[in-house]
Amino acid sequence: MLKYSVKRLLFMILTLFLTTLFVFALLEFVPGDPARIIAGEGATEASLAAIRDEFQLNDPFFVRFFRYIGNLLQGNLGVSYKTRQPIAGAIGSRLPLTMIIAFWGVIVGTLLGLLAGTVSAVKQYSLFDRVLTFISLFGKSAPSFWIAMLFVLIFSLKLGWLPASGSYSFKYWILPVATIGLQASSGITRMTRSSVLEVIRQDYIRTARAKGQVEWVVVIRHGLRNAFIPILTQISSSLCEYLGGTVLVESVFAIPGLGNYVLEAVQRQDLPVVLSGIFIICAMCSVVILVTDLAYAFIDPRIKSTYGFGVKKKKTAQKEGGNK
Amino acid sequence: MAKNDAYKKKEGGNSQFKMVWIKLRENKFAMASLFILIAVCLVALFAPLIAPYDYTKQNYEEILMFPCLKHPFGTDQFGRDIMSRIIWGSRYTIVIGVLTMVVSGVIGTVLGILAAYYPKLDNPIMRFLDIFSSIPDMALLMCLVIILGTSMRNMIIALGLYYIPGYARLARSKVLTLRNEEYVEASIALGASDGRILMSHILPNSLAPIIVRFTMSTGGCILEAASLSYIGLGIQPPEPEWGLMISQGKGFLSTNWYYSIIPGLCIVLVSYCLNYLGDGLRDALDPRLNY
Repeated sequence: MLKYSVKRLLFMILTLFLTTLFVFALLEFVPGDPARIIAGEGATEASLAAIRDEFQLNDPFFVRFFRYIGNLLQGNLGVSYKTRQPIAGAIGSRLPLTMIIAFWGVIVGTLLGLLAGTVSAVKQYSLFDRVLTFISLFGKSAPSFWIAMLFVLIFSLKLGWLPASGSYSFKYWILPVATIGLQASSGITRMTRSSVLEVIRQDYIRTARAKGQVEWVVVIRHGLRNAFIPILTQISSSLCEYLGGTVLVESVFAIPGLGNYVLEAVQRQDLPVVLSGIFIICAMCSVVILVTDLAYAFIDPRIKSTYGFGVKKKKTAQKEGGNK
Repeated sequence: MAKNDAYKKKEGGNSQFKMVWIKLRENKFAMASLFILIAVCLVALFAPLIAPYDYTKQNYEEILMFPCLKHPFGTDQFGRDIMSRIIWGSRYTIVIGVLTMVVSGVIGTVLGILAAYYPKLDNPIMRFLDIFSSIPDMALLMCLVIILGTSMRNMIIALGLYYIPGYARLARSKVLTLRNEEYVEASIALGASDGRILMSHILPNSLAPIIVRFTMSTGGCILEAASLSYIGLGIQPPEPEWGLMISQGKGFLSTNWYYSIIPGLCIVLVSYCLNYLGDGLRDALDPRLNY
């Protein structure tokens, strides 16, 4: 287990490094001189040179890249072109909001999706199944910002139950979480439905029923548990999506989160902020994917044995078989 | 793909496409979606004839009118007819959706097939695409837009780049299973060239999942395009793009709800139809996925 975890961790760091290199290289192609972006249109040649010195823009690509990586390792995310403030502080104050909304949204979506997906798989082709399919397709077909606006229209403007924008307390988070929950649940419902359907026809389900097991225990313990691997993949990919993609929901509800911060930076061509923002988003996603990969082994003993922990005898037997 | 002989006899020797069509026709939802999509395409094609008003014409005597007989979907803050703008906007939606998918579908499929068929290319291509797809969608799209700048062509390029890895992975996994099929071995034994094997055996047999993905991703792509326009990184203001109209109507949500809700409904309708059609196509093209 430890060996596998370390291997995965190293692989994650390598991927993150390459992704950072890729984004760093991409941002090299942004048209315009960064010094001019910082100084504004009417800057003199002397002030441009001063700015280039200040931000060390004259160094070659790889020197700047490795300086950036070195700073990252010390927890320094760079300095914003526009505000000249350290980016780490700004991201640190905005990240918790984005994480709260994304995590709670995905938790709500997971609960809804597991429930709806399992029920519609067990009652396949019933009216209930069709209605749930319709609703889950709605989550997939409607833009998140539009769903958010619909919620604002109904729950804050017409009914007056919840605040429409801002982020001060728990009450302000309900609508954003509901929006993400609805969208996340659509993918999870569909994945749960199809993967439970695959499992529910298996012999061991029939055996469990034949021995007189209560139906819901059959469905949950024998059905859902065995169908859980693809569902977990779906949950983790939607968590990744929302950690990086709350920008739409954040902009509807005017939440000062990470997404809005990066969006503002994109509009003002504040490249260090874009770079560091994307780095943080990618880092969070890498962690989510790593945790998911490790969780597979805990959920499914078959995967655990292929990675070579626990069942030692089988591994040696396989090796012998391979040598023959 | 092995043809089902019994099925073939009953229908009197049909081609693959005809068989798919017959199966698709049984699916009411998919057929309804297909008709709606064709209708939307016709509306986009004949927009100048159908639209009751000029979509740029400002009329300050009729600003922010609620839906009525004269303006079925109301008017915006410049007195422009929203229905006409939606009709013209359908052109953007369809062109962006289809062009993006064609670009990314062709490039992605070619990359995937090459990666699967030539093991030497597998690692370089797939690892590069892995890096590409490890960046979440909005982050990557924002990064690409800042480089390319905001215009319709650049948005199609950015979205196309974003969708390439998905197609490549799909094509690769399909081709990897096809490569060991007997008919491929047979044509290798017959001395067929790589090009011939790829074009006449591998490509046609790997198309089914790609067509399904094409249909479903077009829906997703329309959403992404609308999202980009919504946050101001896509189509720019005077144009009548649906996502942009939602964004412009945001400020009028409390007084004029129809302004942003109706364009959103149009996006939902088109995207719904694409999803239902994709579901139907999947059932018709790949019987193994039938439950």
